[in-house]
Amino acid sequence: MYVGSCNGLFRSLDAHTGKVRWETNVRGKAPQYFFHGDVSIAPDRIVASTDVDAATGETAGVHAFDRNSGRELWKHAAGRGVKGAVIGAGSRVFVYTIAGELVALDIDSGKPAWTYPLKAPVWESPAVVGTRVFGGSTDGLVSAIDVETGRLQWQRKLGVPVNTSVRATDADVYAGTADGTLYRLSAASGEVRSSLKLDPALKPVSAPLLAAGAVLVLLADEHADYGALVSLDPALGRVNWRQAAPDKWTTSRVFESQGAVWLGDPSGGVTAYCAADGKPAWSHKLASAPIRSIGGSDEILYVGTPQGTLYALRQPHPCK
Amino acid sequence: MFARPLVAALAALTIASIQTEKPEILWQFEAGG
Repeated sequence: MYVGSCNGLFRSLDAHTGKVRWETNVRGKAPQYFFHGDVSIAPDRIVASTDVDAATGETAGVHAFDRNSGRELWKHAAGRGVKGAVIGAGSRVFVYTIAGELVALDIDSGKPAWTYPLKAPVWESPAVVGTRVFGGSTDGLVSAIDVETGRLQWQRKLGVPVNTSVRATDADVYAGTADGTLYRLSAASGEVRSSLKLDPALKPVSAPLLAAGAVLVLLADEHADYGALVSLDPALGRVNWRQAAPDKWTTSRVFESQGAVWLGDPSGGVTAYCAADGKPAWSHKLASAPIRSIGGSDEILYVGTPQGTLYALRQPHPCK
Repeated sequence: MFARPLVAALAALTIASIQTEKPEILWQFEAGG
């Protein structure tokens, strides 16, 4: 498994023992150098995004590491860098930069194939399906751009800032906006096919997850505290269920595995909610610190805290 | 008068349906914050 932390270290750990296989330090002279977004894994390399405080004089961006040795293969410097996930497709990776661009990089060389100006929500990421990359922006636009050329194919004005990552299927593009609405657009034309107002005060955040025949999306308040999880039918015709956080959740993305959605809270608790009905099925206080990230495989859950402690758990199966 | 025991029973059922057993921790690693 791969993990990046806020000290500029990117590591490969043995998934079953936690033993360090390799580690690479990319922070330069910066005291802190952050890996925040999800990585993209190719057969021979792993591509990760970083961000840094500009006052350090360092630049951050996108790094590619050899999967076997950890050697840094290339770095694309992009000022303060990239906070959101790296999305890979074919020979390219795609990111939103903090500076306000959607960038397509060649995965072999790290050289930009094209850039497109886009005021994207910086913690989020674009989506790629087929020949199009889809991005949302804080000026209320959803755009479809040709993967190869970087040319605009269509643009839809929603009129409200896009607040989430964009996610897509062959037919549909999903984007949440700051007025609490989730939109479904035609991937081919950008036409709004349906939309659903999810909440008058909370707004959709993070990446909508298309899983188990539903769309799962987190809702957050004005302080960016995660307060509710909503499951919708993919046509956005109805809400399947809605689950409120007991207080708030501190994990910034929806992770689903084995029919359960795993979320962490400020007091170190991890709770599994069944994806079918949203009901809590298993909960355990794992740490004394907030839970920041949860990921894993069918058998193992990896749970991280902001202090840098990483736990590997044998995954319970409470929703089977 | 009759509602309160019913509510209490339902609450107990809800709590009982949430599993809380300790997971097997395979390993722990300090990555540094």
